[in-house]
This record gives sequence, structure tokens and C-alpha cells, in this order.
Amino acid sequence: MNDGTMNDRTMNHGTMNEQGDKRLHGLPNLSRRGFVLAGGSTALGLALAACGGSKEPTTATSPAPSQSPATGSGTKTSARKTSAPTQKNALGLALPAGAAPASDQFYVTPFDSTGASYKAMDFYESVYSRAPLADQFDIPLVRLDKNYGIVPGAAKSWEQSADKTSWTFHLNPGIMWSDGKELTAADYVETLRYSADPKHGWDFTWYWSGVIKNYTEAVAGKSPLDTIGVKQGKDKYTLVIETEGPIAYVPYACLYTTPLSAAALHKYGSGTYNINPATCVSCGPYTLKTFDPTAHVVLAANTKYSGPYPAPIDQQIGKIYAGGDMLPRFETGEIDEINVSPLDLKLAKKSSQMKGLHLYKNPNDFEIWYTFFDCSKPPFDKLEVRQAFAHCVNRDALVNSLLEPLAIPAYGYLMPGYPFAVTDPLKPLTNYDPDKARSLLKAAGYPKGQGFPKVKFNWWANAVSKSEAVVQALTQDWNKQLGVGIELQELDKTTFYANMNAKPTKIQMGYVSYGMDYFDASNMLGVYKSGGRHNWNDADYDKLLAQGAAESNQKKRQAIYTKAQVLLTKQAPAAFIVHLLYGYYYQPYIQGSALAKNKDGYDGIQWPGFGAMSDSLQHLYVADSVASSKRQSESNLLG
Amino acid sequence: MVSYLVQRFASLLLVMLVVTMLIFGLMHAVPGGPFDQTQQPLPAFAMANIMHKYGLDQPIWRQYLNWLWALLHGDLGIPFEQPTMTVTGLIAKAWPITLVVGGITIVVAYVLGVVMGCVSALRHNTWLDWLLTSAVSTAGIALPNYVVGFLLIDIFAVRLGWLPTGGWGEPRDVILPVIAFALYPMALTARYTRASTLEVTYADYVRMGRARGLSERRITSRYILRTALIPLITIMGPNIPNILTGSIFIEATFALPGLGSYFTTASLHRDYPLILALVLIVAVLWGTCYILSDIAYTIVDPRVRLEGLSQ
Repeated sequence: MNDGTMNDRTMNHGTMNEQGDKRLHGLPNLSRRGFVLAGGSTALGLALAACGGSKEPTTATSPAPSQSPATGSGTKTSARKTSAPTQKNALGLALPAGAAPASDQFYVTPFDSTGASYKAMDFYESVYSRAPLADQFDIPLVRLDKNYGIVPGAAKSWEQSADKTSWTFHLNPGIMWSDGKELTAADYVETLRYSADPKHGWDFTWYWSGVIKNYTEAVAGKSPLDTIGVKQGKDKYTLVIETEGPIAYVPYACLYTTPLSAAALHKYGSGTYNINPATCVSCGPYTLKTFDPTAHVVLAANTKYSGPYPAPIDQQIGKIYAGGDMLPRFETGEIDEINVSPLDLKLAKKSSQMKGLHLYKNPNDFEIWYTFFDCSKPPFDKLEVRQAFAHCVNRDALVNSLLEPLAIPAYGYLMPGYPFAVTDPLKPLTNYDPDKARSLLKAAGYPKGQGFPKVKFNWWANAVSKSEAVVQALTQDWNKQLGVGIELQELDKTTFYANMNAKPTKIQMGYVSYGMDYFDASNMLGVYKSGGRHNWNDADYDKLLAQGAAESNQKKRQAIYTKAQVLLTKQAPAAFIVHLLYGYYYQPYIQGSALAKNKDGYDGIQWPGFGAMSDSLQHLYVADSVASSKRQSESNLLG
Repeated sequence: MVSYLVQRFASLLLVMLVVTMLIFGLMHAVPGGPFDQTQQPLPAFAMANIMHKYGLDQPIWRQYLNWLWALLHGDLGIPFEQPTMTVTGLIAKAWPITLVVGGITIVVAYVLGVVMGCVSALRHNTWLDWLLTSAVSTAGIALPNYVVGFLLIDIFAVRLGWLPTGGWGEPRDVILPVIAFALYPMALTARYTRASTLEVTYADYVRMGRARGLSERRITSRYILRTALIPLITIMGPNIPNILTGSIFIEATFALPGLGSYFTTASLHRDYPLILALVLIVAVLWGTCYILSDIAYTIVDPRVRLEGLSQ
């Protein structure tokens, strides 16, 4: 789901206009003489810099300590001896030993608004147009820990009914919204009904279609909203979700049950009340302070917070940039974290301020990049052709030469570490074997590529995955090894997705990604369900997915999903290329166990990120070493 | 003069109408719509709900007429990129930033460009001429402004720590963007000024002035520069709309929340209302600048005034 387009912006007109005016008023102060003087000094500086080479910053800063990946920064901090008295933050939470004062407990995350649309702060208002720092004003039923395990959120427990057609969630009592009302099952019921409302036109209705009873019918306007299978149970702290059949993964899917306030929803008619600080209603640890979708979103501590998961960080700042290079912004202390591409990594290693920092790596949303085929038309309607292409991908070389260390070869659709993922049974089905590929192509009627029709290979530019370099390498190998004539054709992202999603698809073969929506194999494998994203249809595969979704026994589920993965890889409706890893740097003063390694050896803040859907909020803080850093002040950051 | 201006502005209105019709047709002909970027295809009924919500389920001609009617009432619509704002509000917020940076850039580029060009011409074939023409001007034209931008950030923000990497809010935020943005128009102006000045320097009437014993200062200021600067109107005028509508590269490099980036993102998003508004801005600016350039010619060159207006 996360392809970088989900960042977003929405806003309070009053706030934005005030800020815009304030900013512009400063400019006339720059007199012409002042400008000339400034220009002169910059020219002088340019000359000095050119003469002096790489001069170090003149400000007094201590060198950045490198963080040990093995111990994690949280361990390092706790080992520090400090005599400082216990400090409390705005929520009254005692800060860890070695933490900076409450005034420094803010966290700055950068967001690139290129290609993004910002109109909401809530999942159930819009998924693809959410603003930075969205989904912080609520508590989902469940959350994920760093090992991707489900931990309680608003619900303290949950169970499936005996007939396996419904799930009951028991809410923690006493969680209050900032308007003084209590969080109850009604908030979840009203939110999910709102999501199904045809008038709302929610952009993620597919997520609950086929899961919640009558949801599909309600979205289509064929059934009233109050008939969907989300109801209050025996009391206001009990929520019942009725499903279309036995569905085992509902608790995992319930990560995305971030409720709107039912009272606010009724009062304002939509979830946009949460983009205005004056009308924002929160039951999470933060509330909206500023919403300026062209510059920044600021969340302040919700001093009325009564939930069970207070956060040490008092304030979150989402800095919005319309593109540009993030590395200098990290180096100059504007931002506290940075997501790096392989190119950034090379530059970072040369930077005096970054080369000592530990690179945190994790799979984020377990993204796969793959080449899909139009299986309904020649030449890819032949199984042998698809298998030939799949066997002619030198994944190891691709990763080593282009993407290392931020990718691993993809032999299956599911990334190792993702639930029910297998690799060994799949490798023989898709390993790099040009001889086998040629013989398969010959068996398909195209010996040495003779008679193979011209095929266009579509792709869209994505810097993080280096899509341009990867598709060129793939095409070169296919054309050289198989004797075929694949032609590359770049499309802009909108055109690419429009052509791919068209029925019938307008793309013969294309390079695309998919990242998980929830942590269960039913999600990622569901992409290849008949009638889904691509046009490969297989009744046996659909049957296996249905069995897997209904099965509660984990061993049996593993067996079913292994069969499904083998079938998918064998049928090769796509050549799986790479699984991306995400690389992060954090400023040395950002510490806490949220950054430490998880059970799979991945570190840094894990998916779903630093927010209410994860327990990472509770395990990150700003250490007192911030005092000797070049971090920019809050007033500087917000202009 | 008045009837001439009325005629020119009336033709500009007609041009704008044709341009918006063409753009409206073209943007709907391009594959993909504003809600096609989702990774999972939306169910048909869900997509229908969204299209209905934004009025995109109506015939294109009706959508155009709706847009035109709203425009006549001062309503440019709601941008799909920023649906909580109006197009007018978005432009009112972003354009002033672009105008401030662009305005300063114009002043810096044109003043420095003219000075450099004149100095080069008056000291032609000297080391100063070589420095200004070959080094500064050529580099200014050859180096893309985003490359210059990255260099400036690396030197003045990262290494020296004198200036911010970007952003908006303080006077010092404009320094690096203006330097990077002004380099190309400054270099261009300098080269044209130099060529034009050199040409005039050897004109008969200048030699006549020297023969009459006029001072070199008077010849330079009154005979050479005044005449040499006339052709620059052709270069400077059309560059102004380009600068005043911003540069996606400059704004992205220096994180300026201006208008420049919307020229690209609006197209990529198929943000129809915003695309049309931006096209209108560009058409008005270009049309107006050409009209103003023509008027400027009639003021500085009597021959143009006599011929143009008498006809």
C-alpha cells in the first residue's frame, strides 16, 4: 500500500493565511544594500570555500557518537550515568534517565510532498491523501510491537465466535476523547459505517470488502449503512465484527481501526474536523497544534490524555518539503531522521557528520518489486514463456551491483520474515538459469527468441528502488540471453497505474511494487487473487487463499500458504525481482528501545512507524546529548 | 494608444479561451485520472462514488462549461492535490513566495547582467572581459540552476553553516535561491548586452561624436549605452513570466513552498482545476509581457512608435 504516495496535507485556512502573512512580512527588511552585502559575503565565502576545500563547521559541536547496532541505542543510554533528577514531560510521564528536558522532547520527521496530496489526518477520511503525522488522534483496537506481534490497543482482549463468523473486541474503559466523551464501541461502529457511505467516496473500501458482513453491498448503495457487520456487543465496551465467513486474520486487519469520534463525526459531517486545531478531537497522546500542508504539521501533547500508552516525546513536527535533497537537512540538524536511498548512502559515507552514524535497516512494509505479465494475450499467455523470463533474472547480481545493502533477492512474492513466507521451496522454480530459460522458450515455440513478438516493458521512475537501472538491467539480460526484443517504455506514475488497472490491462509487461497493508499472508498473496490487481486467474490458488483465510490453526495455515506460494511461483504470472529494505539514519540524540534490533535482526523504527498503530511511541525519546548537537531550535524550524 | 491596448487585450482574452479549451481537451485525453494512483484497483462502484463526488462523471463539454461559468464568477474550483483549499487560496498562498524570489531575481539578474555586459564591452579583449564573458557568463548559462543550488547548499549551509539549506520565513532564506536562480538570466543578459554594446561602439554616429570631441563619458552614457540597451527589451521581457512563475528545480532544491512545483505535480496528478488555473496565469503573464514589451519599444524607440501606432 505504501508507495510513497500516502503522505498528504490538509489544512486550516486561518492558520495558513496567518502564517503566510507573517512570513512575507519579514522580507522587506532585506534592503538592497543588505542584500548586496550578503551577496558579497557569500561570494567571499564561495571563494574561501573553493580555496580551502572542505572546511568544517565553525560552530562548536561534539563529534556524533556512533551507535552500536548490536546493543541498540536504548541500551547505550540506560548505561549512561547521570545525576539529573527524574524529569517529567507534558503528560506527566517520567522521562528515562539521560533524557533531555521536556522542552527538547520534540521529534522532527521530514516528508517529501512531491506527488502527495494532503487533505486528512485520519485513515477513515482518506488513505491516499493523509497528511504527515496522520492517525495520531486515536487508538486502534490493536497495535504492533517491533516484532510485528499484535499487542493490545484500545482493546484489551479479543476472541473469535464458536461458529467463526464474528470477532468480539473488549475495550479498555476510561479512555477519554479530548472533548470529555468516552471512547466506546459506538466510535468504531460509526467510523466503519462512515467509511462504507457511498456519499463519502472513501478511497480504501476494498480493504473491508469481503471481510465485514454486508460492507460491499453498503458501499455500492444496495444496503443501508446500519446493516454492515459492525455492532456494539453486550455493553458499550464490547465491539462485535461480523465477517462474511470464517476469517482468521481479522485481528491483524484491525490494525486499521483508527476511530473518528462519533460525536464529532455527527457534529461536523466528516472527518475533516481533525485538520483544524480548534475542532480537533483526540483520544491519543497528541492533538493538532498547526496544520499547514505546504510547510509543516505540528502535534502537541494532548494534556487531556487518559489512555494507557503515554509517549515520552511531547511534540511531533512533520516538516514538509516540496522535493529536494534531504541529506543536507539532516546534516544541518533540521530533521531527526532520514530515509536514505542507495545513492544517499554513498554520499553519507563521505560526509564528515554522517559517516560515523549507524545505518538502521528494516523491511518497512515488506515491499516487493516485480515484473508482471499480461497473461491473457500472447506471448505471455504461455506458461513456458513466463517461466523462461522468471528463470532469466540474475537477482543476486542485480542486488549486489545496484541496490546493496538496501535490498534482497526475491524468489517469492513474500519477503522472508513476513508471515508464512517461504524461500527454499521456491528457489528451484525461479532461480537464475539461462539454459533452462532458453529451453523453456524453445518449448513455447520461440527457439532462440525467433518469432517472439515485440513487447513493450513499462515502468515508472522511482529513485528509492532505482527502477530505471533495474529495468534496464533486466531488459538487457532478457534480450541477450533469450534473443527476444523487449523495448522499454517509461510512463508517468498516474498513466502507469491507469493502464495497469484498466480492464483489460493496457500493459503487456510492467515493473511495479506492492507493500503490505496488514501483517498476514492473506494480504500480500491476495494481490494475485482472480479479478484482483492482475489478470492471472487460477481457481486452485483462489481456493487455497480462501482456505488459508478461514483456517485458525497456524500450522495448517502455513501448509496452505506454502502451497499457494509454490503454485504462484510455478505459474509465474510475474517474475519476482527484489524485496526492498529501508535504510534510516537517526540523529545520535534520538534514543530508545524502539530503535533496537527485533527478532529478525532488523533495527530502527519498524512498520507501521512512529504512530498510534505501533508501540514505538512509548519507546523513543530525546537524550540529553541534544544539548551539544547542532539541532535547530523549534522556533527556527517552524519559521 | 487606448484603442490599440483594448484591441490587444481583447485578443488576449480570445487566446486564453482557446488555450483553456485546448488544455481541457488534452488533459482529459491523457490516460489516467486524478484518482488512478491507488495500488489496488478501486471497485467500480467505489470509483463511481468518487467520480460523482467531484463531478467527473459528467460529459467533458459540460465539465468545461461548468468550469467556465464558475471562472466568470471568480471561482477556480477545488484542487484535487489540496482538496481542503480552493485553487484561488492555494495560488494566493504559494505565488507570493514565488513572486518575491522571482522579483528579487529579476532585479539582481538584470542589473548585474547589464553592468557585466557593459563592462565587458567597454573593456573588450582584456582580462576583465575574459573573466566576465568566458568564465562567469558561460558558467551561468552552462550550469543548470539545481546543480548550482546543490553546490551553494553544500558550501554555505552544510560546510560553513552560514545560511539555511532552504525553507521560507526569514529574509536570509532568499539569498541562496536568488543566487542560483539569477545566474542564468544574468549570464544571458550580460552576453546580449556585451554584443549589443560592441555593435554600437563602432557605429558611425559614435565615431562622429568622438570626431566632434565629445567626452568619452558622454559618448558612453548618451550614445552607446542608451542605444545598446534597446534590443535587450526583447530578451528581458519574455524572461519575466518564466521567472515570476517559479522554477520547480529552485523551489524543490531550497524547499520553497512556491508555485513552481505545482506546474509539474498538477499534471502528474491530473489535477484539472489547478492545471487550468496555472495555464491561465501563464497565458495572462505572457500576453501582458509581450504587450508591455511592445509599449516599451514605442517609448524608447521613436521609429517604432511612429510606424506602429500610426498604422
